[in-house]
Amino acid sequence: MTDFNDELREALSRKATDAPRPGGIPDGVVRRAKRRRAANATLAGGLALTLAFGGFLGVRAAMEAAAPEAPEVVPGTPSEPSPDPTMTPSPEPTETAEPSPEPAEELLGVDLRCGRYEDGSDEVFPDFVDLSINEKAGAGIARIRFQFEPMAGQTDAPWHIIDFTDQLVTDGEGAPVDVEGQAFVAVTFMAQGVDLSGEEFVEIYTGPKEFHLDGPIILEVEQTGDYEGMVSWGIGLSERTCYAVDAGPDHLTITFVR
Amino acid sequence: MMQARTLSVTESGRLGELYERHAPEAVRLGYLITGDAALSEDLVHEAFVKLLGRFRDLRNPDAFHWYLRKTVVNLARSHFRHARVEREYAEREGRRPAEQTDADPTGRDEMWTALARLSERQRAAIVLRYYEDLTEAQTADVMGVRLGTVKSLVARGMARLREEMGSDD
Repeated sequence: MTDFNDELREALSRKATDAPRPGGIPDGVVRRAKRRRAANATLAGGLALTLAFGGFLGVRAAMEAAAPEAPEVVPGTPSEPSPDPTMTPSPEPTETAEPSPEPAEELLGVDLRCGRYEDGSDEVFPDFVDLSINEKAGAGIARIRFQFEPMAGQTDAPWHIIDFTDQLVTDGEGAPVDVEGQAFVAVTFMAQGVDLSGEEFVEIYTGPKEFHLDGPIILEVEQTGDYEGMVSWGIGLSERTCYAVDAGPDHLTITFVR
Repeated sequence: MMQARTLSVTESGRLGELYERHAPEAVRLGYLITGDAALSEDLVHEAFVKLLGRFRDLRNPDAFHWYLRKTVVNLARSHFRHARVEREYAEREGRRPAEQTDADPTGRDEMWTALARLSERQRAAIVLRYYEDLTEAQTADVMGVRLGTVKSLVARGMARLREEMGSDD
């Protein structure tokens, strides 16, 4: 055992001598650090103002900065979606019988994404523990919520990316995944769906890997991967539908609004 | 408005000192994780930009090398993650994926070639444990994962290395 470990250490040390030897600090690094310092100072001021006035502008600006490429539709006054406290995680999709007279009224003012959206911290690595799907009949709203158990002290949402795709594929292998629908959304987030700490893999998320729904917005949801700390799900929609995202250390909620 | 000022000349000089003191070690770490000389320098430059941009916010500036190590490991992970997404996209589009750069092109070092075949996370954990000589807990902290995950990554990585090297140790 020791011989092999020593051999490994020697190989690493030997290889390390091939690494480049940096000279002085490049001017570009200093210039970019200065710009970042100035930007951080501005952001800190903005956050302080945001906290002082309890407004949404700082949060909205942060989201826009995080996803500058995401096209947006802003149907009303800007505000952030908030987690629905009445919605409890459930492996079975549920439907609410009460139709809303004003479709998507509760989401007026929320920034809708109609393309790729990316946000979150890649230093956050929660357990993925549950998934729930709610669709309000007649309301034009369908919501899917991924539930996390955050690591101690973590306050950011894990890195996540949501995008439309013509073909869902399995993460890692890239094999096609057939999901019912006319439009498909790939959701990937950094989390642990399998416990690798023991000799055997132990599933943390033990719920269904496939959900077949009646729509009218979401038709099918299927897990497409849990690979290298990245958990992937595919969503089949009856038609391409814009969505709002709400993410935190313990959840990622995607609300499709029609 | 002291917090809002930009870096002074004196600070720039100090940054240079920090760079000269810590960059070589960070580049070696990045190189062992990525196997790519140019990429390892880019990662370290990016890490310095990130850290120097918020140097005053660091809770313990004396532990700069620790922050730098964590940042390099995280940037390497981000690089591989994005590379994987791009590779899969290229494959879906029927394009030829970019060549992997982390194998030993000379084939001289069998152990390194075996290391290059490990997953990026396994390789990072093993480099931190056996090159940087970090404890498992320190490795978990640097990688931002649980202690159990480090144990698993190292154990599985080492098992595969032994298998590839034909070692019975």
